[in-house]
Amino acid sequence: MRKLALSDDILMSIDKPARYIGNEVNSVVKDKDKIDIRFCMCFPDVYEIGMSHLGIQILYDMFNQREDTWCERVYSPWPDLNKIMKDNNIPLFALESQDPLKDFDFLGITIQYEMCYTNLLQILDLTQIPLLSKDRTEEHPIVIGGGPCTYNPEPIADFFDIFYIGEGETVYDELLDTYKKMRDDGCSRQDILHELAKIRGIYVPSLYNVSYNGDGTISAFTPIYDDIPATIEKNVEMNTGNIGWPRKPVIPFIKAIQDRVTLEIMRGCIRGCRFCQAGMLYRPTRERDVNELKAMADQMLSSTGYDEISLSSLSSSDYRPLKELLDYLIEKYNGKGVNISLPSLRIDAFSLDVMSKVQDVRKSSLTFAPEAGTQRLRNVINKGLTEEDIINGAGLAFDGGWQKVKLYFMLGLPGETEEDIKGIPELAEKICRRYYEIPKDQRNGKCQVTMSTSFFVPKPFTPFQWVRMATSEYFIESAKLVKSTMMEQLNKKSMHYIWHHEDVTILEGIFARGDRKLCDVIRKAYDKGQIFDAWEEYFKVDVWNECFKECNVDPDFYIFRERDYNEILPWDFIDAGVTKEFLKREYENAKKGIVTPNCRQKCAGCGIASYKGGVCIEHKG
Amino acid sequence: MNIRVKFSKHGSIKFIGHLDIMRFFQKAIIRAGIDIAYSEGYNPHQIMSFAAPLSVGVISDGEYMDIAVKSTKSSKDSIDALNTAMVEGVKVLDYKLLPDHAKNSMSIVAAARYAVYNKSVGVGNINDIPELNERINSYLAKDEILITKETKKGEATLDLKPNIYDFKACAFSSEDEEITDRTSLVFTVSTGSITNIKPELLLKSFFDYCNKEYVENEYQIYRIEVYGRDDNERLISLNDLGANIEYEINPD
Repeated sequence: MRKLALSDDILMSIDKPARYIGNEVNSVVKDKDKIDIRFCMCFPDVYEIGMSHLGIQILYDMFNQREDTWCERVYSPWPDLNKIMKDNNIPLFALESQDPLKDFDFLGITIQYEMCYTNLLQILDLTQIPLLSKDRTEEHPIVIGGGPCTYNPEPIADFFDIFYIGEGETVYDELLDTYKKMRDDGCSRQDILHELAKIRGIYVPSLYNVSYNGDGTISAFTPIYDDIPATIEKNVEMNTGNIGWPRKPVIPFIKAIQDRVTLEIMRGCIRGCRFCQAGMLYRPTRERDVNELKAMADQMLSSTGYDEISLSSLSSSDYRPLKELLDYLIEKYNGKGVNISLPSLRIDAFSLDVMSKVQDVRKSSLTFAPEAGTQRLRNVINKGLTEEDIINGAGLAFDGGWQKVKLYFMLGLPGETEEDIKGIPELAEKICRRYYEIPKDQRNGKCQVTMSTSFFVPKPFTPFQWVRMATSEYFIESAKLVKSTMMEQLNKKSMHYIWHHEDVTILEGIFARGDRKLCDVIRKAYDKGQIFDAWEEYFKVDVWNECFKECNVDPDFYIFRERDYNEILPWDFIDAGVTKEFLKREYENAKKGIVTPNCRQKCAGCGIASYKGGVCIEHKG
Repeated sequence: MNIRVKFSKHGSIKFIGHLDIMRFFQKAIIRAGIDIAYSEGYNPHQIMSFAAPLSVGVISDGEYMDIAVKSTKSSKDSIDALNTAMVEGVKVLDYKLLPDHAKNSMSIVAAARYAVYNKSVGVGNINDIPELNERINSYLAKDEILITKETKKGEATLDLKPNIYDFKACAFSSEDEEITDRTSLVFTVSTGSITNIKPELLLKSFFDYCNKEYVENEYQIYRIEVYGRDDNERLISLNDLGANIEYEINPD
């Protein structure tokens, strides 16, 4: 029987020991003696969150199809175990083999949000390897970062040996094969990293020099060798048949946040909302074949025994064979012990019909994401959802028996005025009025309209990458204005307002567009005990403020400054497919409130057409 | 048709709690292709219930789950199918058809039998068994064995004595746990909805009597079997209330 890395005493004294024992259904165990490459995939947050992530499941399946590679998993130990491991000098271990990570060839970490940056250091520290790439030697694993945050990897550049920019399906085989050959030939770690840096999408931060101007902006960003690229081009899988999917998803014993089969129907988004980083990064939009998806759904449901399946994409209503796919799933599974959980669909007659088949209308709520309170500001952000769409959609739903509506907004969008903020509860009011137009004897009590606001964070590779971010004070004032305007509405009793704390958003903003100087700040915060900053109970704004001061780094430089078009941005060395010219054009359109049509209506010339695939060639066969 | 499934829990699976084991079986039943019956309603769920829930940290050779099925293969084929859907540490041991109108296992649990041994003591350490049995006999010879038990309404005093059906020290072995002739306390106590005696209650009380401290994590609790009562009020293994299925049954 497998021996666990943690003793009974420890496992019985911590919360949810099942996070650390592995042995889950569909987890992969291989014979160590027949393996050349030990790879550990990490999601740097607690198990229940990490296990909900589709990307890791895809890569896990992909790596383990290689006979020479054993890919295992690890997640961030929760603070209770973190302390025990540090006090007792227990090295971090992989779930499957329970072997220490420090003996692995690779530690691959997916970086999905900025607030996990201290958890990256926790993982490295518990693994008992040097936190800084430059201090690691041949005896340590190669630390790879991937995921959306690597489109600006600079704030964490010192901690990683390699960043993999783009989709995992494309060059991992090349990377592993090159590594294996060079390692077996006895090449040094430095030589291996140098060679890997020649592979498309592979960024080795230690091989690039950054110099700065007197004002702190970047003056030059250059490779130290002539034979590695100055610009790193993202990886995209253009053959949708090759997009990975987990044939046998690993099933956690304890309930994960996403505890169901996830079916990825499409990558990318045609909409071009100007605030949305994912919408820019994952271009071009690529639809998966509907027949493949049907077979995938069947296979994943039977290999897991899950009682729920959900569809995943950035904008599922834009998946053209959606009706055919949903008809198939409903026909085959609905009422037979498998729930079909719908992604947020554009609310229209079709989606309401589907919803009424698979949900209890009275209990479920409808979701709209207007993002801004007025049409003017929605045009600025290129959110192609009109007030008419919302009111009509809600009206149809109310007529069909729904009573609950959720509305998502952002505060602090570029060019936002008081009118736009007041427009949020005013829109909610219009929705309520539509509900009360239904004769009293035909409706079922009150309606419930929930407004939820988050604070806008400008992200790299969006048309808003140059903008000044709003301040904490502004966020608090604008949230108060939403609240007070809501209280003035006739139907205020049918409304709820939820808003989130602003401190974390500010830090997220700093990291999102930060540079290498932030590595020291993150290191300092970790040294002061910060981990799990994404969790409100562990985020301490005072500690972070101290760290900036002690490192002599001015946080305002990163957020409260409109950047010049000529400035070299920290992420400019990455080619994400969309051109800087396009982003500038879109920012100028935003300032004028000009709407850009979606990719299917008219090509906006973003640059991604050079990849010759997906939506860019839909009409050309 | 109602089926009683007996399974064991060993190794790292002892850290998986009762509710998560239920969720594990809900999926395993689908993977194994068992033709389980669902409840009516908007969100139909599998008809499934478990006998006495096991605490985290306890291992067991006698766990029971009752399910309703629409059709079934033979016991042997069903056990094989379920075992291909298990993980290391969970093993399906039996699959039996219950008589019509049999009460479900949860409602008829009357007793459970446990072995308890020190986790860190090596093999062959059986010298103290006679001494332990002497102590047990004098402990059981008391007129009453009063303990305080925490209930929903606060603390209550309870006499353990009538709820201990047997109690002795002996050498205990388990292949699954890789232990041989381990000095153990083995006892059967009242379990279920009427008087539920958790093994820790007896252990604490007995250790107290011996003037020793019972340190929970030092001991492994091992459930050997769970019992109901037959028509003559005698304890009978829950497993013996069902019958083996020789051939496939398909009412349609």
